[in-house]
Amino acid sequence: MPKRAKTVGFKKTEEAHGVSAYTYVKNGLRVLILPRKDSPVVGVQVTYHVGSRHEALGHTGATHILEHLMFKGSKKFDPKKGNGIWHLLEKKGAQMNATTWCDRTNYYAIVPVELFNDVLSIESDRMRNILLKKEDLASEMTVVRNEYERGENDPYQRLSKHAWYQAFSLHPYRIPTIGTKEDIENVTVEKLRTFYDRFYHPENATVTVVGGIDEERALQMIAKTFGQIPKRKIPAGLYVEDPLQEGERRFVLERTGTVNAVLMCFKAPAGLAEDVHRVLALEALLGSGKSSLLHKALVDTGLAVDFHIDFPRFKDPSLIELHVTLAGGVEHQKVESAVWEVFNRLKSAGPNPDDLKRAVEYTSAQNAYSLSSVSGLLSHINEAIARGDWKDAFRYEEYLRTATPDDVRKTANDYLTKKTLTVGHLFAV
Amino acid sequence: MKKYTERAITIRHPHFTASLIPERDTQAVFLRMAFPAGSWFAEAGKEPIAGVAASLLDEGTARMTREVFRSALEADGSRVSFWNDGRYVYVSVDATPRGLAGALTLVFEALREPLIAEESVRQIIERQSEEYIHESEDTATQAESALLRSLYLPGTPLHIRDPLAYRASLLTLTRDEVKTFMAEAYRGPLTVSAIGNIEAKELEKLLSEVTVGWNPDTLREERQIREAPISGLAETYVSVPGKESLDVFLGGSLPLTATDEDISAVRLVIDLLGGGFSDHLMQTIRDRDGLTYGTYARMKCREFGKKTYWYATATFGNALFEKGVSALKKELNVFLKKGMNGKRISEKIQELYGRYAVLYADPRKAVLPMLLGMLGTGSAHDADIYLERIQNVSSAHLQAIAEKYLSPMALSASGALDEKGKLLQK
Repeated sequence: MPKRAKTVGFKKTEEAHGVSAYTYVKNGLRVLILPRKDSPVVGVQVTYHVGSRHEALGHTGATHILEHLMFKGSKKFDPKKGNGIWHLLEKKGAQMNATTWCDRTNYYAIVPVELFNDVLSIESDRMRNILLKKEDLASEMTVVRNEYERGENDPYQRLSKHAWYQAFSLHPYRIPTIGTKEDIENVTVEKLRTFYDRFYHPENATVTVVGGIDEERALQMIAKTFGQIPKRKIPAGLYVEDPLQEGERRFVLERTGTVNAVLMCFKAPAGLAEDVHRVLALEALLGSGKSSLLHKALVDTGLAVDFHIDFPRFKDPSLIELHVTLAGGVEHQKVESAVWEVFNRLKSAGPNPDDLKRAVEYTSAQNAYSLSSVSGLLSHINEAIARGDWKDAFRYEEYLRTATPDDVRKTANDYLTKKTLTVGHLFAV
Repeated sequence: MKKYTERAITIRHPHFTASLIPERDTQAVFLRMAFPAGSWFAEAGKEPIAGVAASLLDEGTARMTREVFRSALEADGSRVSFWNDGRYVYVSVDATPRGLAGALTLVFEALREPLIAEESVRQIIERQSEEYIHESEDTATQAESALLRSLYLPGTPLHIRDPLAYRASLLTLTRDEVKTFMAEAYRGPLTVSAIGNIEAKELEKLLSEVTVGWNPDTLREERQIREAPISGLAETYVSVPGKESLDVFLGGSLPLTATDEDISAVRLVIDLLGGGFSDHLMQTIRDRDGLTYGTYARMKCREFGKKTYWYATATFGNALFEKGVSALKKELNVFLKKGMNGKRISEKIQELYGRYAVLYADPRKAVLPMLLGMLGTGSAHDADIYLERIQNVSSAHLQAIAEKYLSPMALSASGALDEKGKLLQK
């Protein structure tokens, strides 16, 4: 029997959660397709396995600047010739952008289905053919520098940046994705070209398609566009491990402004670690919703104006970050003590099962709401690809529901320890 | 001509007007609601009372403590929030189809019989007091507020005071004042938009049940917008030391409501000026000159159904501030004189069709713009009406509209500069 057109050149590798996963055999490009039959729009995303983790001192922020320059034109799509990427897509209604983070860079566009082929043509062309001109870098450098300056305006970003510097000794997660101001100002086109040539290849990328396109048409078009790009071996992955933290680290940040805050960061497992489900349940119990343990202990008591807890699930071990904005006149130490009271109670007695149940229901529902749109799906899949398994995008609820009160108690004991803690106190001066 | 809101079903009831787009593929219902009880209904000098009142709505009800109220909502997976923004109090409900009835029952219980505990009022005031302090170092908020202080007379609702002045007013409020405000203001016409997995009949039945006893007539008097007399370009600078980037606003008042004939043309001109990356400001000040990370133009407060304002805004690093402000002024001028041409207009109309297709494919994102359209024009079909009205617009007409309405009246900036607009030395 002849092969169906859609499978020519592709090897189907997996199928789960309505998503079909393929690899284009000739060049190693990975493809994920999630058709939504009646949707009038389609989302296309290219996730590259390159992020600020691949940078070194002297060219920090390069991944992000390169992401900006990817919009400045490629061989076939050149704004100077009137057919730039923004002109072709945004002018037809696309919701499009790109983002860079520690483990990945992604380019996405959500468009009316009739623009599907255009998006693939653009993405495939800029995978290997960007123009990368000196004059474009000159004008974009100041744009990126302004993005950096806006971040510096924000007291929370400043605090978080310092915490990651302190928490990691060697791992590149210690350097913020935006980079340092000096590196932003001094990066050269040659350096960016080298970076681009190392990482922007089919074998280092996953194309995700979600929306009103049938699988066969999607694969045909991907073969026609990305299929023309030759295979090239990509560099081996990064193997650095941060040295074991053997004691609490503290720092003080004094800054002109009005915000007083505490940031407590605990070393956390890699995004796909075996016990990640327990950490997610712990995070939900502590900080999800106004009935959460920390909301009751910090906001309802008047110690804090606000707080949030975040566990960015990266490829390598990262941090559980707890940001607390202090209420007026409250001392930093008092807030820390209140946090430890919650943690210690959890570590000794475990959570009340009803509290855990509520946290699981609430957080699962929020997750389901965010998966109800094409943009939500693309975003979840993107982060899951970055940590190493796209299927992880759909496991959140399952993770939460399998965690027992005793799991959560154990996890609190494993991770909420002073030994791996980095604490920052932000003082407004 | 493609329509995006034709599936919207409007339900009219003595207590509410609701519009629903049923989406059977979504395992959720996203609902937004508004009623006129925002700070415009507070006395001048007491504006923060509206924010305190809105925050009290998730502090429990007469028969439920705060803890019981919040747990009941969250255990069902419902996410509910309340906020005050100008003329209205808004309620946002994201719920599962199964959890919607419970969530709305609790919301209306809170609206009818909020628990106005002394302790809750005190805590909210303390928290909001701190938020006003933090807002005072937010350069975008400061710059926009300064623009509005130039454009509108003190005491009128669009005259936005300094956050620290609001804080001073906030600290004088008492529980009894808040209680009286809620008793008098929490009524009036309810406007509801919903997109999600629910039938119109079911939503109508549900809303009819939960709104029993809701009084649809307003009682409190609304403060009226009054423009300040301005000659030349009024300039205001708000100093926020220690910042590395500044926010700049350039704009004016707009003598049009959402239903005036010229409003669609003005909206199109604003979209062409600074709607997105492909529009004039981003193409010139950012993409060509590299002076800013972001520059946009907006027409605000369409939803208020009142005459409001427009602005162009940009953010500049300290080193590029002066150059940036000159560029913003210059590019606005260039655009107003020769920014409208037939090709660009037809491209923009095509873009808007695509943009609405993408927006309405995302129920959670579309539901609030749908509500705002209803508040401004009384119709859930605001997007389609806009597209219909701009179909045959000519560049000459847009040029005339731009000249008539969009000459800047005021400039404001906030960041590490002094009150005369000179950068502070590091």
